[in-house]
Amino acid sequence: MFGIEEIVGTLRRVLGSRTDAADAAGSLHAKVKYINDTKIPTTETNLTNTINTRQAPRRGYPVAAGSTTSNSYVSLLSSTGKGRLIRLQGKVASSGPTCGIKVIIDGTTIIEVSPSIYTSWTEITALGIGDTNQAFDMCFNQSLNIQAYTLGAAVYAQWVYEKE
Amino acid sequence: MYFRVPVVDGALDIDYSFLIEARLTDSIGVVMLRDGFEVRASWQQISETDYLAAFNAGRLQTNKTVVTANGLDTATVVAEVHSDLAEITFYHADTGEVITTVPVDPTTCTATLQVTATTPGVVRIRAGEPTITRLNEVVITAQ
Repeated sequence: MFGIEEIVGTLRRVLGSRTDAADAAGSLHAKVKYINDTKIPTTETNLTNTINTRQAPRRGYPVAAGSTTSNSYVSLLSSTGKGRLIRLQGKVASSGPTCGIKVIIDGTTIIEVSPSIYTSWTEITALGIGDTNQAFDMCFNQSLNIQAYTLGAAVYAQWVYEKE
Repeated sequence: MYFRVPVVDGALDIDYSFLIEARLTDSIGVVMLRDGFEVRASWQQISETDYLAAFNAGRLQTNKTVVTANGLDTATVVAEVHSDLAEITFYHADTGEVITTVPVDPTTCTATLQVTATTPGVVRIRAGEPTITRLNEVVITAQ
């Protein structure tokens, strides 16, 4: 049989005091403080890290174009972040120049083509130029760079992309 | 809006998110930007005429968009160009075929093309190289 003193003593020991230090094996006060100080922040951090590995909503950018008469590669588009190159087209002002369009994704050259014979917009994909039925449709994690050069008439590119 | 901007390490000194169109050389670029950009100290605002000059082009206007296909009815197409351009080339915009090259009147900074037709159809005329703005194009219908 327990008396009132024993019951109150047990409650005091189990509940503890609001000044108890955080302790996973301590009183109820200590356990709550332990959860508040340690477990909740850790869970929040883990949750944030997990969310950051998922794709965030992306914004589409309207069609834009660049052209150059530079005889060495210059950037018509240079974008950093995560996104997707949706469509890319190329052409030249007049047929025949030695020229090139290059797509670099995350630092790696994906495709380099010459639109030399194309005087109207022509589809460029990761496999080449001229297939009008395919989109480029490649994601980038860090950067997208579209470069061009020409040794003659101006070379053109136009593109559509989206980015987080 | 139109700007002349430097090319640094092969890229335009701009936030490409706002790019509508650009023409680059090795060291300088002209750009047309959509609203929302922040002007940088290295930029120089330029006029539409300056911008089109980078494409060897000028703004086109015509006094008629429809002509009778009788070989007599004439549309006058006028290109307003930058004073630096001595001549301007007119093209069939759909095919890229050259129509003619016309000297620019240095006093008015314009070049003129007379257009007639003998068969019905639509002809899209461009002055200079293509730009996404199509400010340098007009469409004339012969009927």
